[in-house]
Amino acid sequence: MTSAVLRPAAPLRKAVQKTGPDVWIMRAMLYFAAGFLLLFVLMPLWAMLSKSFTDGDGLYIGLANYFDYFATPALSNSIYNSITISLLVTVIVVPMAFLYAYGLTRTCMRFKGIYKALAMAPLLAPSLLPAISLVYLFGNQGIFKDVLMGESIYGPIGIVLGMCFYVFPHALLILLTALSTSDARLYEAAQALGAKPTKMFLSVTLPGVRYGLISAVFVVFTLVITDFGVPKVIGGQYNVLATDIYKQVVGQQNFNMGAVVGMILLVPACLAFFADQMAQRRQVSQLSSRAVPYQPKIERGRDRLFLIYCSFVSLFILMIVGIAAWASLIKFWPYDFTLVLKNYDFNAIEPNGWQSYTNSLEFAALTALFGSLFIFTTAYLVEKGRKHNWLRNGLHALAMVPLAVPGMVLGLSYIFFFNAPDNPLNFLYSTMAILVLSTVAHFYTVSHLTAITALKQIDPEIEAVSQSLKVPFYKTFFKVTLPVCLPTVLDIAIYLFVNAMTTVSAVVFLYAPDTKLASIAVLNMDDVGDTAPAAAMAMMIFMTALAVRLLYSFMTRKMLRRTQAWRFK
Amino acid sequence: MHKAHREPTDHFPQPDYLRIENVTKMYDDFAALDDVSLTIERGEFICFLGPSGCGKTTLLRIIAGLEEQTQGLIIQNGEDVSNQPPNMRDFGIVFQSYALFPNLSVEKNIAYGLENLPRVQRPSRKAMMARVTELIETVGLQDHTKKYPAQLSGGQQQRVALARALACEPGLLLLDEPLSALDAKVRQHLRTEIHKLQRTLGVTTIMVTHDQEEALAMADRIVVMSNGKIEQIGTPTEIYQRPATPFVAEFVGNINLIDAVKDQDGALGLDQISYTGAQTKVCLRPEDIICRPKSQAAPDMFEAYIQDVEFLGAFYRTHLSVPGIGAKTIMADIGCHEFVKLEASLGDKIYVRLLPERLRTFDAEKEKVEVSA
Repeated sequence: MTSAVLRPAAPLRKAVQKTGPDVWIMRAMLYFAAGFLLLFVLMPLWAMLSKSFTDGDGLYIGLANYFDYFATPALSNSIYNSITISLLVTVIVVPMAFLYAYGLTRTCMRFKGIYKALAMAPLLAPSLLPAISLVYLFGNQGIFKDVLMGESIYGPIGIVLGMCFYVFPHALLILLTALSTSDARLYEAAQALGAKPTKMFLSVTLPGVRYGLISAVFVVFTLVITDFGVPKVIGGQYNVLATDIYKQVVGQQNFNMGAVVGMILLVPACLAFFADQMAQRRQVSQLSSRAVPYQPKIERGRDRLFLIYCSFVSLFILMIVGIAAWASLIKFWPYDFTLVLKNYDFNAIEPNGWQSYTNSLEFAALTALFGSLFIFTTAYLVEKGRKHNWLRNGLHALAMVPLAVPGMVLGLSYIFFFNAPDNPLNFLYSTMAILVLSTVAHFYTVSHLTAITALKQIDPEIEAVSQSLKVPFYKTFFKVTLPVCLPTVLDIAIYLFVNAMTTVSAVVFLYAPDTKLASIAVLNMDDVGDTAPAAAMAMMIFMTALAVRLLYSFMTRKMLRRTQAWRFK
Repeated sequence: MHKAHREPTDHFPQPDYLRIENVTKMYDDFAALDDVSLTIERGEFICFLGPSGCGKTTLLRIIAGLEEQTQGLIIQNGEDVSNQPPNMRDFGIVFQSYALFPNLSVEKNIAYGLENLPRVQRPSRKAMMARVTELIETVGLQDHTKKYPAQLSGGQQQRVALARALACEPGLLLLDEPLSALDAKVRQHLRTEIHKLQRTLGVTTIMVTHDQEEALAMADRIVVMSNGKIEQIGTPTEIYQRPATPFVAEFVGNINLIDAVKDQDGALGLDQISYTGAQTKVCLRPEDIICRPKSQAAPDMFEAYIQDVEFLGAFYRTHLSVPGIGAKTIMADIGCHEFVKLEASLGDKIYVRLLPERLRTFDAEKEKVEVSA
């Protein structure tokens, strides 16, 4: 063959790999996921932003709404109120959670497992529940009303107390992680250098958990400033941003002013989000693989002190839940303390009756099922996909956005976007589907990050090996990646289920009469003065979430033994 | 049994199995590979050797198609595969991290590629089982077929990875630092086995390593790389005895680099004070320095003083200051018996002879090699 001889030297052209079906499928899936986040996060926010610049007739009026807002003290005072409350709760909860976490990780106190479980209880209840309990304890007919010495629980005191209950486990989880990743060798070195306990705490412990503390501060601040349930029930005349949105939109039908409040509520949430991101970026893994985990030594005095402290905190948590449970079973507070079940007869009290509860079950199950599969698959494409780097990086960035968007803001922006008559997705409005989609979007970030963390732990060359064996990526996904990550997928599903059961914020704007949820029913019943049935429904939510959690840990223990046999040596 | 690799096409009739032509890989402005060309014969065992960041792994991944080259051609078995995605190329690969499927047993791991072949190529159940059994025996894991990777030692896991890579009978076997994660003893053992296996199967193999001892022991030819370029290609003996550049000389084995001058006649002066001429570098391996006790001084010897002694088991590595060749100390390896005969300790004077036939010089400016003496 002479052609070979005549062939010129390697041409200087840019090499581009041919695209196989693998890559096409991957690309289609990536576009689908990006489309979801655009449609259900970014575009609604855009719709809300433009709404804040128009008047009631849709005419562009520039910043007029904002000028209006700041010219009305009744409205703009809420900014001050919201920030005050958030700072107060942060200052109270973060040190409390730190001490609690310290007791659980750095002492030899007894019953650690029980105390950890008790502190997680607030995660299973809607934030309406602590507020209702506080009404029973300190309200006009509360059993401990006198403790407040004439002050009213309806207002800042009630909001702060309720928030402390609601955000405590969130701060605790972050600090537990921070405190449990410590290197014993640092303490040994400090001891060898003759450091005293106080010095050791200041020079080793605190620097080690610095970023955990920063993270906890921002998470608590954001949760408090965006929460709607607590101030709605117990806020009284004390206005905060989250209740203002609701009042403007549902009460006064002033959508444009609602949009303005929504934009203002986005500001602190976004600031906290970026500050936290920056802090986390600076936290390079403090724990090398050679680190030796810290093992606390027995110190009777200290251990007992922490036991007493943790008992005190868990007692408060138990009391809040217990009061709600008790009040839901009482015939007529505070006159007739006979235990009855009549408050659970929702069909007789509320137009939707038990349907709200079954709706919630359906809603939470759908959210858990579709949410966990969709979020995990997307995370897989982002982390393990090939090529499309800008698309994968962009998707990862998009997945962070929901964390900075308060539920109230997301819900309101859905009204603007999906209720617009010219939106082809208008048919979704007031269906179960939009509730599920909004909730998946609302809780997207944490689920996404959980999935990414799990995927990062799998050898990155597994995909390369299966390519060399000519196995398409989706086969390896179903045969290896998904089975290996099954515990994580289930964790995400449970997280979504519990949050769907308890959430009020986004869905309060989106439910229709026949898709009313249990948490909304709590809100409505409390609104019209049916406090006991509201407590009963809140307890139904709590017990359902608790049952699902317990069932899950029981089932996974059995299932893990069967499907995850390869994990054990 | 199905043979995975394609028949050679008649477009580029090549005696060579793999040709890498002018491959360049840019990351923004940084050239990870800079115009690399290389030809590998069928059945050869090639080692890419170099420090981390020299581009050896990038080159391997480009050959596999796992990375895309910015420019250049990869011609495998007469076929231009430059733009083929990895799953259209013919290779098996083994990684440092093993990358075993953690939830599949040893036999399932090995059978993974066979089970997922397109229906027409897939062997029967029976043939597949026979093939897997054969592979398991080849790598000596008969007692572990049903175990999961987490239940195996590192060496055993790497055997599974090797068997899995060989299952579909690839025409090219790529090994990316396969032994680096293992203990020294296991590493040596597995090294011998991989070598033997490669000889028996005759599969063209490329191994990436930063361990020069591994490369010297296993390779038919070594490709020494640095800063995205090939420094030298040659057999282990060539690389060790006739390094083409000071980099190769220093990277492979231990070596003394001594500043020297060369006059117009080509005579070397190691004592830079007494001679004039072009600056050059002389290199000499520590084992090519002969040490004699004070009593056996000769005219072709330098006097030397023992500065430091390290006992390395089979020999002593001494650090000597030699006033006759400048300020730097040089290393000399002295066998145990020889060392006893020296009857010298720290600070003592001995005499050394530099074996002239082993001396090599590099021009200081061009860094080009010339064989002296």
